[in-house]
Amino acid sequence: MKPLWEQELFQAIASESLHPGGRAVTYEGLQWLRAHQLLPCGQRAVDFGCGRGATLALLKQFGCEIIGLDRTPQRACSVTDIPLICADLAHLPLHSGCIDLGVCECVLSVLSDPTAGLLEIARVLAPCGLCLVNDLSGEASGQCAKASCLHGAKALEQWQKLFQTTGFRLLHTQDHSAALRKLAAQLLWYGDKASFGSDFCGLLWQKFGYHLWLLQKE
Amino acid sequence: MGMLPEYRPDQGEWLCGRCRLPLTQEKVPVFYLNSAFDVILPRCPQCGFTLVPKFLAQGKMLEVESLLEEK
Repeated sequence: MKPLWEQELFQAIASESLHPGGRAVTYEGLQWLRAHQLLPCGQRAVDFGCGRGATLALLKQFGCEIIGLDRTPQRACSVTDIPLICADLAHLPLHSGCIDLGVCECVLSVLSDPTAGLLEIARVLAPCGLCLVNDLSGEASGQCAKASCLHGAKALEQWQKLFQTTGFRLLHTQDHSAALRKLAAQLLWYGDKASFGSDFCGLLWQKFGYHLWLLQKE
Repeated sequence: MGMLPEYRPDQGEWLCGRCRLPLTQEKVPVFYLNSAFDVILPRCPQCGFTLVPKFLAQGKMLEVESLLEEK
């Protein structure tokens, strides 16, 4: 069975962004950066795991020069005439220090080695570069499939430690757990456990949170 | 969304008690804690009174409520 985010039913429910809260969550994070004068126009931004390009479109609205990166070819990317790179986060085909802002939404939890992914992001960021990360928080459960994002969830303290050890300073945290519960409720309503297999852990989702972190390269 | 769940009465043919008309399967929005869920349910074509089958109320609807309420 395909991972949750590659299933048609999930894609229809989660809309273009394919993460809890969709564009509204990303917008709130970018707005925080702008409100703190950290996101001037012309920033070189890469969306690591750009999917269909919903966040790329948003970054463009915020005046960024955008590049999309995904490990699967994005034929359905909604943003055209921009560089799209097909690559793995652990081996980025980018020069060191060449970008100002990285975006990594619900990607780290599905990596076998999130530390390697974050170290690569830190490498390609310019000094004091920024990174917007959102992902699942909570104790990972053995009841979910290994490829499931719930399997890769970490306690808040673990995430913070991971950011610190990979060379990032935590600037700001936003709790978007309500968006996760809403998405889980929609999955439950429109699908069923059989539709999503072991990736959908039903009420187990209650035990998880969903946070957005704004990080700065040390 | 092209995959609306559809639920029919637990059993039998139902009439609206007020209008005496047979209920028809219609798309109904269900709102709960700032979330909207569309569903096809038996509804009176005249007054809009909607029947929520018991198995739905005690099953999926309850699960969704619990999830949204963090129970």
